Amino acid sequence: MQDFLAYTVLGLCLGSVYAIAATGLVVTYSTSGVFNIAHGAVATMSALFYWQLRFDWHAPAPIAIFLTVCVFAPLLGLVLEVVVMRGLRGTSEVTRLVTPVAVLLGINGAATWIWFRSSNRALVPKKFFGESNVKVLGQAVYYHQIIGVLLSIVIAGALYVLLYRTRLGVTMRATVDDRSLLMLNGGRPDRVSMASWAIGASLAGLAGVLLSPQLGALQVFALTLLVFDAYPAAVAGRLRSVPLTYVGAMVLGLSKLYFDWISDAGQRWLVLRNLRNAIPALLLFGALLLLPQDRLRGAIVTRTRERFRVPTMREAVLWGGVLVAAMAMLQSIMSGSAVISLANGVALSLMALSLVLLTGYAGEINLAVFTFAGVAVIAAWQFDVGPTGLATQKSLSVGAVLLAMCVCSLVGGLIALPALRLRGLYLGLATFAFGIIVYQLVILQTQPLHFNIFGGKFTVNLFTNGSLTVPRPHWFGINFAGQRAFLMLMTVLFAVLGIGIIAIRRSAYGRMIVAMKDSPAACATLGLNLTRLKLGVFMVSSAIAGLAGLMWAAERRTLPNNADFDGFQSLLLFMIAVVGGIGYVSGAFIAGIFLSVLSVVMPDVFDKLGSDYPSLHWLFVTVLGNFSHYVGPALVGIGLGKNPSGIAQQIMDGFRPLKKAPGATAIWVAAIVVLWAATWRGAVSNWHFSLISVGSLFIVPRIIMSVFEDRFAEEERAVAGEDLDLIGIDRAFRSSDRQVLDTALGLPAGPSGGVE
Amino acid sequence: MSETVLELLDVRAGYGTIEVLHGVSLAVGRGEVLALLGPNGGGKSTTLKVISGLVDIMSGDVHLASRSVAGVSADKLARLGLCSIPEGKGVFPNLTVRENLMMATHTGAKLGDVEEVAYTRFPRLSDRRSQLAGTMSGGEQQMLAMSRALATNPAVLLLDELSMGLAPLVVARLYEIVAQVAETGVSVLVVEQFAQSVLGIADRAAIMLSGRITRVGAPAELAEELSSAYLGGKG
Repeated sequence: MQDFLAYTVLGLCLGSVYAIAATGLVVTYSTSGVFNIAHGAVATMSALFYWQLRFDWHAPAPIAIFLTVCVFAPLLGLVLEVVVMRGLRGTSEVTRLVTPVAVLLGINGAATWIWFRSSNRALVPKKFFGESNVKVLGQAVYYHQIIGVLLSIVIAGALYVLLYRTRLGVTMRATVDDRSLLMLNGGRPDRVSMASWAIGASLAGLAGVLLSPQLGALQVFALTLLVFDAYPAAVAGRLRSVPLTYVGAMVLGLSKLYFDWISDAGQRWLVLRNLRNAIPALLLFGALLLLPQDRLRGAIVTRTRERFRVPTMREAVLWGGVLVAAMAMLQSIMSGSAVISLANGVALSLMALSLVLLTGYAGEINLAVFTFAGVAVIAAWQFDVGPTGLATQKSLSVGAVLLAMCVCSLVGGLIALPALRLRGLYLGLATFAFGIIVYQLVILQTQPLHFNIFGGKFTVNLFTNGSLTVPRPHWFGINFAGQRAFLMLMTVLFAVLGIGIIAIRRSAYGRMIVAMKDSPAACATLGLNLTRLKLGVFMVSSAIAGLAGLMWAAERRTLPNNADFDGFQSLLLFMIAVVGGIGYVSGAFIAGIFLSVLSVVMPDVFDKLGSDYPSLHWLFVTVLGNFSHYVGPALVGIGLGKNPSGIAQQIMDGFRPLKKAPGATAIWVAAIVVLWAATWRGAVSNWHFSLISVGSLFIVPRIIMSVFEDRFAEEERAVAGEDLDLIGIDRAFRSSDRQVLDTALGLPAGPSGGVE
Repeated sequence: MSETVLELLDVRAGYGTIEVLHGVSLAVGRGEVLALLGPNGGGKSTTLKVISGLVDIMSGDVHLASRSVAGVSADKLARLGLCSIPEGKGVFPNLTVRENLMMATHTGAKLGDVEEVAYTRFPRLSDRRSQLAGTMSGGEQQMLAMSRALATNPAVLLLDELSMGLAPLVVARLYEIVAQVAETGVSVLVVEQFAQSVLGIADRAAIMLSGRITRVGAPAELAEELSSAYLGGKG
């Protein structure tokens, strides 16, 4: 009994700090409509700022806490609202989910850059009043913990008064209800949003400072994850109710401490030793499943700025062939290290491809793509290597791939269960929680699992040795063990899967899943079975993710279990896929390459430049290299609000002039081929080929645009100058209207096509 | 017409690159009720959004009390005395009645005064002051929106489809109040799809078709043109 009371006291102390973190989320969401996934990153940055003031510069604690919680964190919140979040109006839920992810990665990248780039020094924060404590029910409770409890009570009361008793608080809530109506009432929603983000960030900062001593030494992503633990409490309060959020936080704190109590801090059952870390994700998943079922929505709330054009099958096959041919040419002149980077990019592109079907077409969210890679690797490894782990398989078998895809498909079906009830943000959180659960309980599992089925003993090895080796395939008499051959295999796979996905999109099934995304209510009234549709699209997408994950693992050959699966990589890939253009197969390709270039190639390039020009080392390595590595991927995501359709759309718009000048385009392509031939023969260096060919991608469309400016302008006038609404109404239909209609309806020009 | 308070001068406006209003000119005098009528998709609601600052104009000008207010933000216009009740009741559904009234204080009015006007004019609201606005009936929601207009003493009142989804008796009562507001000198511009409900109190009416004002005149003069407009004629 004594132990029970002691752990209860400690659980309530922990719950109080979670409550502070979770109410910060609730304040931001209930007053701006944005679920700030970057909340944990704000907390981390604030904790590091506090450490800097308090323990590096030795400022007195009250001054350090004041500057952190009342100045630094609110300013960070203000900047986020003004620079990033304000641009998200009129964007889809996916974009509003992804942009805070980019902010999270950006802030964490910046924090790593500032505090951890140069040395491995340990940043150790201490508790308020050190180890001083009092005995409560026989349990030593630190003053630090008591301060947390008192602050959480004060904050709860203050927030209630703010949100329900003051005009500012009521206006904050009104902003979410109807922003335009608030303006018609004379309210200033922009100012109100700034205030709510400042308050939310301030609470995140306070939570970060209070939680950070738990870690011993500060670590950026570990502290962010620690604040993530508070998310189930916010969801328990349905992101709106402060009292329910407090209840959720206490349940969370108590669950963790009771687990410690009954499991001897995880030592009693080794198989379950990571369960403590999975408790918040399990509670989050459970809370999301218990939420009331989402009401079917009509189309009116989904009018967004994202627009995706569906290519024809002819275009899909043509561009698939161009991709394979271009890759074959490129790899033949690239150095070995460049081929590795490219192969890594194509592997990531394959994984992003699964999101095109699921998110781009069907509007469902999966924030656990890398989890499927882990599951696929485990399944394939069991099939090829077996439970003993002693046999060595020289190549990845087709059977293993099929088994991995089937297992992933079934897991996808499991993840689709919350999707039947949830959508948007809640679904994203459910899949993220699922990823964390699988990571903690399966992928980090180093104990072999023994089953006794029908009298037969069956053993499953997960990541027993901390890593799994995945051989490359030897299929159709071709050995893909070599880097170049494997790159080509992945490229062909990407092209085939891409064409297949576009074929799905153009089929009746594709129209149904897009209709489901646009208006589930309309689909239901038409008699479509939404359950079957969602389940199907999740299972197909998961099978693709499994295949892609297997290729990604085979590309790396040995896959450790301690990176890539903790959730952040899945968030990053999802974000980059949206940035690339989540509704385009080409967007998935761009995403993978982009991620590889930003996180691997660019730092290498700057390293090389730094060593070639030592006097500019500070610029190339310290500034540009670190910037591209830590902050670059996040920045592209932060800019998403300005172009929610993604980079693929921008590129297509940029290359549109080429379609109008086929002769000039042919000359340009021929010139690139000649340049490639010269590089292949050794007459031109790889660097020059890269520089000229990539440079021409940016320059040639502009040159064509300027040379044919008059013709394009005339065509533009022909299209834009005519008011389509008035054709045939205010005046008689003219033959010149035909071209306008052809363009608007996407019909082929000329005497045989178009409107007669 | 008395002194002009609100004036649109050859206004072109729309959404993105699509032009919805093709040169709209209108004037509303002090204490006048002008009914803007026409079938769906004619640009009536867009006209109100332009006046209230929610949609930017492409060309032309908007004058309020002889001052150009084109490009002025909606919240500033509200504080300048322009009160707009948009289509769909114009209330915050997740705020209580009292909290909804609190939002009217952004124009400078005091909460006590706003509540007094609202509860005196619509006693039913007093019983429901702690109820969420979204859970009230359509008529009650419209009363709440109207009470905001009455309590803030606006110079111009813009009403969009006041009658939508309401019982005829409620509509008649609401328009009676609109007429009383106009008598105090408030300029009222009412957009209505169902013409009969508003013509009884309107001093003048304008017919809007395909983003253009096709006719302005006394309600009685427009009767024939109205039926032509609604039946798809050229107007």
